[in-house]
Formats: sequence, C-alpha cells, structure tokens
Amino acid sequence: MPARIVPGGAFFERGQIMSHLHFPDGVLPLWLVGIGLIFTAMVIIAASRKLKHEGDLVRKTSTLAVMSALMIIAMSIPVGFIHYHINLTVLVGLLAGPWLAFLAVFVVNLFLSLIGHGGITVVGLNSMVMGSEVFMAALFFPVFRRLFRPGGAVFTTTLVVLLLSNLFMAFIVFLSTLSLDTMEVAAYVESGQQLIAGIPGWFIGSILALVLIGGTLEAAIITFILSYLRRVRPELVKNVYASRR
Amino acid sequence: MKLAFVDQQAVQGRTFLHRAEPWSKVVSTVFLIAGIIFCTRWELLIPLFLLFFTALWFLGLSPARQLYYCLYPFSFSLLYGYFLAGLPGAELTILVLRAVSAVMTLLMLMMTTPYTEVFSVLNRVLPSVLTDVMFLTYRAFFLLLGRLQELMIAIRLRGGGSTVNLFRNLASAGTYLGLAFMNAIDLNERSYWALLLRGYRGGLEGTAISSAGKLGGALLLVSISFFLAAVIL
Repeated sequence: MPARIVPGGAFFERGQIMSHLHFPDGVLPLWLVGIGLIFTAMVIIAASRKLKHEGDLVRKTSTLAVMSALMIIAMSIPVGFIHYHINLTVLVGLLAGPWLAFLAVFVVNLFLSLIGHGGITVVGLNSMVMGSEVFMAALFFPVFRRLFRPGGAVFTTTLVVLLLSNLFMAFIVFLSTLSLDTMEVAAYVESGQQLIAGIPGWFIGSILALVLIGGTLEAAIITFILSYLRRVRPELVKNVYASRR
Repeated sequence: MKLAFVDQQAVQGRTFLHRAEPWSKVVSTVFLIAGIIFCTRWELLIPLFLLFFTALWFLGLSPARQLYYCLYPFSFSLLYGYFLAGLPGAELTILVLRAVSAVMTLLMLMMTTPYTEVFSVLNRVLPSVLTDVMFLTYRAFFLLLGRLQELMIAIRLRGGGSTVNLFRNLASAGTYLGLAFMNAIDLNERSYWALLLRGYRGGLEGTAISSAGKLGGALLLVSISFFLAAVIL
C-alpha cells in the first residue's frame, strides 16, 4: 500500500528517545539471543492458542491489529522539548489483557526491527522487555486500584511498570556481560559478590534518572488518554474505572 | 515516518532488486544477518556496509537519512562495547560494524520488498494468527496514519503542539492519542465486519511463492558465500 506523505509528516520523524531502549543486532551474545527467542516463541504459542480457543477470533484479531498499529504510530509522536516518545504498552495491556497485548508487542517489535529500530535477531529479547510491561500492568493495576482512585492507579502502575521493565532490561545487559569462564564464575562465587554488584552503579543510576523523567511523562499521557476516553466513550474503559475490588 | 517512507520506496521502486522473488530476498537477508553476527573480521564487514550504503543511496535513501537510521545502533553498540563489555579498539570496531551493517541489510530488504510480501514469506514459519495480525496491522497502520496526520495538521494550524508548556503538551498528546484510540476502535469495528462477511476463520493468504529465478539465485549465492566466509575466516 503506497504511503501518503503529507506535510505534517515531518512532525512524526523527530522522536528519538523511548521509554526503554531496543537492543540492536550483533551486540548481545548468541546464548542470550537464543533464550529470548525461545522464551518469546513459547509465550506466542501459548497466546495464539488462547486466542483461538477462547472464541471470537475475528474480533480479537482485528483488535490486535489496530492496537499494534496504534502503538507503532504512538512511538513516532514526540512529547515536549526532549523528543521523548511513548509506546502505550501499559495501556494496551490494561485494555486488551496481557496475552493479547503480548502478541501486539511482538508484532510491533517485528515491524520496527524490519526498519532497523531494534534488531531482528533480538526481537525475542525486545519482546520480552516490552512484553513484561503488559504482564506487570495486569499484575499491579488491581493492587494500586485498591489504594488509589482510577487516575492515580493508572499513573502509579505505568510508572512502576516502566521502572521495573527498564531494570529488567538492565539485568539483560548485565547478563550479556557475564563470563561463562569457569574460573571467573568461581571467583565471583568465592568473593561472595551478588549478581547485582556486577552492574556499574552509573549505569543503574543513569537508567533510573532517564526512566523517572520518561516514565512520568508516559504515565501522565496514559492517564490523560484514559480520562479522555472516560469522558467520550466510557464503555471502552469500564474495566479500568470499575469500583474498587 | 520511517516505516511509511521505506514502504513507499519498496512499492514504487522499479530496480532489478525490486523484481527479485521476495522469498529469495528474505532468505538472502537471513544468511547475511547470520553472517554479520558470526563475523569477526572488519575486512568483510566494511565492504558489506559500503556496498549497502551505496546501493541504498541509489535506491533513494540519502546519506543523511542512512546515518540517521544508523545513529541508534551505532550509539548503543559503542556505549555497550566500550563501557559495559570493556572491549579493546579492534573488537569494539567489529561490534559497531555488526550493529550498523545489520540495519543496512534489513533496510536493503525493506527498501526493495513491500511489507506484505515479506509477511507472505513469514506466513510459512509463523503461526497463521500472527501473520494475519501483521497483514491487518499493516492495513490499519496506513489508514490510521493518514487520519492522524490530517488531525495533526489541523492541530498545528490552530496553534497546537507548543514545545514550551510541558503540561499543556502532555494534555494535548493525551487527547490526541485518545482520539487516535477512538479512531482505531471505529476502524476495528469496520475490519471486524469486513472479516466476518468474508468468512474469515483464521489464515489470510499472501502472494504465492514462486521458484527462484536467475536473480534470486544470484542473491542467494552471494549471501551464502558471505555467510560461509564470515564463519570460516
């Protein structure tokens, strides 16, 4: 399908920073890339079976497609002066459920990897990082909903989930720097060092600082989106705004 | 937007690479990417990078735009290799070359092959539900992009999109994306009825896969040679 390039299109090209980084090809060790692909394949098979067996395949397939398209578009809209852009993963996770949302996350990553935004061989690891957000959102939202009003619960869930998914990403980076050399592993164990101690402090610090800024922006936007949908089409977000359980 | 631009070039291009069979281009890309990942010699990676850089230039991707596409993998691999892996100069160069060459390889594929044809090939290896979602996502992406770009122009003509007031920008982005979400829901409803009326039960058919011609065979030969060279040398 030929693309329509309109004058406003330039606006869509400026985004640079995402709420987390995508791993490129050829950087991480093959064993880690393999684990990512195997894990993601397992979740995709489970999610596909769930999609087929739960019924209403037609509606779910078309919903997944538009959610994926929306996520790709949202990733190209810069917010504010720092050219930060969001990914809507938490929102899609809350509205579509974690399993369907994981499929959408994989599709989005595959689309982006084909144009060089994240590697094609590390699509598994990238999907694991982004996919962890949809599962964590489903896990944490009911907890925060008991403590806060809907807007506060969505904001807190998004912020916490983004922080954790970035720490997960940092953990993957840390794993990639681990040596499988038996002597080095033995030295690690002998010196009693914890795994976390292997990650440079500045790396964790800089990631946390960036994520706090970016995560707050993304959390605010998702809260605004839900608030807008509540005003205009409340039936779409009735699950999110349901009374406390 | 990158995706729209790349796909436009793939659909409108008329070079010999555009005419090659999609599956031979996809399989060649797989061999090239595998070769790049295994490659430990800059003597192989630099010519490959330069070849693709030149080819993409001829295909309409300006050097500035190519550098823009390579900027992220370049920065990530450089920071990762230098600060985290502590690699020395030669190994760091190879790591960076691997990351940027992989991007150029994928761009070569996508600048000469439309997304739908790539999905037809992927249909053979991925679950049918997933490839269906990809086909529909592709369609939904362009439909939504068209509407949202028009909406963005309308917002800008009315003085929206201020870059100074962050709170106002966040609220505007929230409303804009909320409206985008509603557009997506409407689009979803129409897609749902269209699929239902056509008797969809899972499994959209893509373009039929033909046997490799001379050009496809040549691409395969070159990519397999590169892979073997990367593994053996």
